[in-house]
Amino acid sequence: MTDWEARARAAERTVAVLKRKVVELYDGGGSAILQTLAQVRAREMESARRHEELVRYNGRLEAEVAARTHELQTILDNVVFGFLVVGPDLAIHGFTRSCVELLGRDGLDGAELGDALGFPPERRLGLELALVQIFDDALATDLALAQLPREAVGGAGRTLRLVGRVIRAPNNAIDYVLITITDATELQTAQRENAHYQLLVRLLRQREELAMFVADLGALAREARGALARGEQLQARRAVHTMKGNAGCFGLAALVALIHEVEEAPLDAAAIDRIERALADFLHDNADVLGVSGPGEAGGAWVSPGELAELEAIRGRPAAVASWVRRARRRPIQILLAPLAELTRQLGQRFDKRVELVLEGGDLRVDVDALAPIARELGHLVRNAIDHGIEPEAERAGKPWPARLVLRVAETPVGHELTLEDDGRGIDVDRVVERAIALGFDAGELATRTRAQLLQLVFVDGLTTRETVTEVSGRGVGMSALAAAVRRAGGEIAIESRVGQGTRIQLRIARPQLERASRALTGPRRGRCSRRGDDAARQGPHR
Amino acid sequence: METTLPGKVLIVDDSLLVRAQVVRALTGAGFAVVEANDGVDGLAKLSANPDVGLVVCDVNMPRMSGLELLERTPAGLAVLMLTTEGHSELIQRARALGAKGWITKPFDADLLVATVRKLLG
Repeated sequence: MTDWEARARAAERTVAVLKRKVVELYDGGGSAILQTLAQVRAREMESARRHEELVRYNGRLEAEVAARTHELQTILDNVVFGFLVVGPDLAIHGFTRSCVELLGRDGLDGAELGDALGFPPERRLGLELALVQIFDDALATDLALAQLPREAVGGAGRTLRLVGRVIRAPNNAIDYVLITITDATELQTAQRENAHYQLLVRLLRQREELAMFVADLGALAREARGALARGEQLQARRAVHTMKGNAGCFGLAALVALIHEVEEAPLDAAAIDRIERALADFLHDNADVLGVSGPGEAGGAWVSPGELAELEAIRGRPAAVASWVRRARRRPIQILLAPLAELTRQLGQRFDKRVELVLEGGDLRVDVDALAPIARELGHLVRNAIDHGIEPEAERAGKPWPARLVLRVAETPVGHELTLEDDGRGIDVDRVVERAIALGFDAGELATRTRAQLLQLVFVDGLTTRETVTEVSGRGVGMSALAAAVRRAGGEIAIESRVGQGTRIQLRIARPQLERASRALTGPRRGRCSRRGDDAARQGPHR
Repeated sequence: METTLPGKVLIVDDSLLVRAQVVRALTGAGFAVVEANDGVDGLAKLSANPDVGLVVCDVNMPRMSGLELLERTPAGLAVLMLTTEGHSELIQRARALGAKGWITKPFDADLLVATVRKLLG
């Protein structure tokens, strides 16, 4: 088909779509038009609301970008390397210990490199040929090295990057090939995530067109199904091919690949279903950002002009865009913390204490899924504070009544801080030490600890300063459950307490390194988050 | 002194694009390059240009493949095979037939020049 023919057909199609819309409006009469107007107004209001939110978020953007940059740097700083030395017999003659972990296998000494990398026969042959060619030393060294495979799958499904170097003898002959193995799992995820964000930005900038494309794909799918029903394979293929071209215009690479695959075989209705489902899934997965939820549905005006302008400005910077999208996906932390207000009220009644829970920063938007496991355990802190910390009214000489319990949520460059502060009696460290010794801790060892380290003892399983266990608290398990949840999330707990003045417990939760995407990965995280978690565990009294 | 030409290279590939890439890289470095679009053409160009010192040759071509051409080239003439990813068995056969080496497409032009220099030098 010539270029002008294609254009003419595209124009015809557009006219057809417009015609259909006019007819739909006309058929619906006045009510449809009024309804459309109401929808437009609702969209405008939504836009205004979004814009207000955006103004609020703008201040946080810089911190977000800094955090993202910090995350990528952290990944780079924590990349695990391994080195293997391969001889002319293609066997491993030496390796660093890290290779065992990276490759997820033992017995590397003397093993063939292809075996160690777990290559299937075809790849193994390719690797052997590449190594033989390197040792032949006929080509330019770098060109020969460039023929080595660059990637392998390591233990626990890690993506490993391979780079070769030659080690030459004094007579210039090649003695060994040194293979550097890098764990690229997290970097690859970050890159993939950035590509995804860039795609979303592109789509957001042309949301109207995207909505039309979605509607058009639905129409083409119907056309293709009709053609198949009539046995017109060629007609159906044409429709599917148009889908592919249009998907390509939006950079929907996965959809293009799927359609391409579908086109390899004779078309059937199931193939058309697959295409439509793939687009619907994509739109569904990203509906919170794109606001285009499915074929035939144009969606609401989710993104305000201000937000779009912001996106335009940061378009070239993946880190800033990632942060923008992440922000757009978040929900206020209030959703998680709201139950604590009711808990405070109930406990106050039970212990006959008047307690006011003040929540600061509840409108902060967070990745609710990531913080939920910790928020679930915050009840223990509130219980402890009301039961143990806050004195009965008679003992609170000169202190405000109702007592104040402040829960503060803040965002830091590396994550979130949740602080619970009470103005109660504080923790009696001597009493904590007494209980710890009763639990079997070495008194001499305890004597070497700082006050801050001794306070951490309250997170030990079974440690309580209470003589009696109530159904509310006193078993000494609540705090250890919280500590465990925080550790699992790769965070740490700081505790400060002054006798007679109160206690402040601060949870610092590092942001999940790659947020959503990394959760789908099987490989373990070795970033700063888990390190910090380990450190917190090491400082604990179990050691 | 840079007065003598470093050597003549025959590029055999049915892809005009690949030939253009190789020609640009090598002529830029001062090599004389002869082109052929398949094995049959390659053999003809070889007999017409006895001063060819190196053959850079695609594997999959119409009429006569790179491997068949390799079988018919005079012993001692260096042949570098151009392949695409995942053709290890063809490479293995090319090696058995005496190919000096192989590289996968796409390749880095500078590294190709360095390699041609090394093979002709």
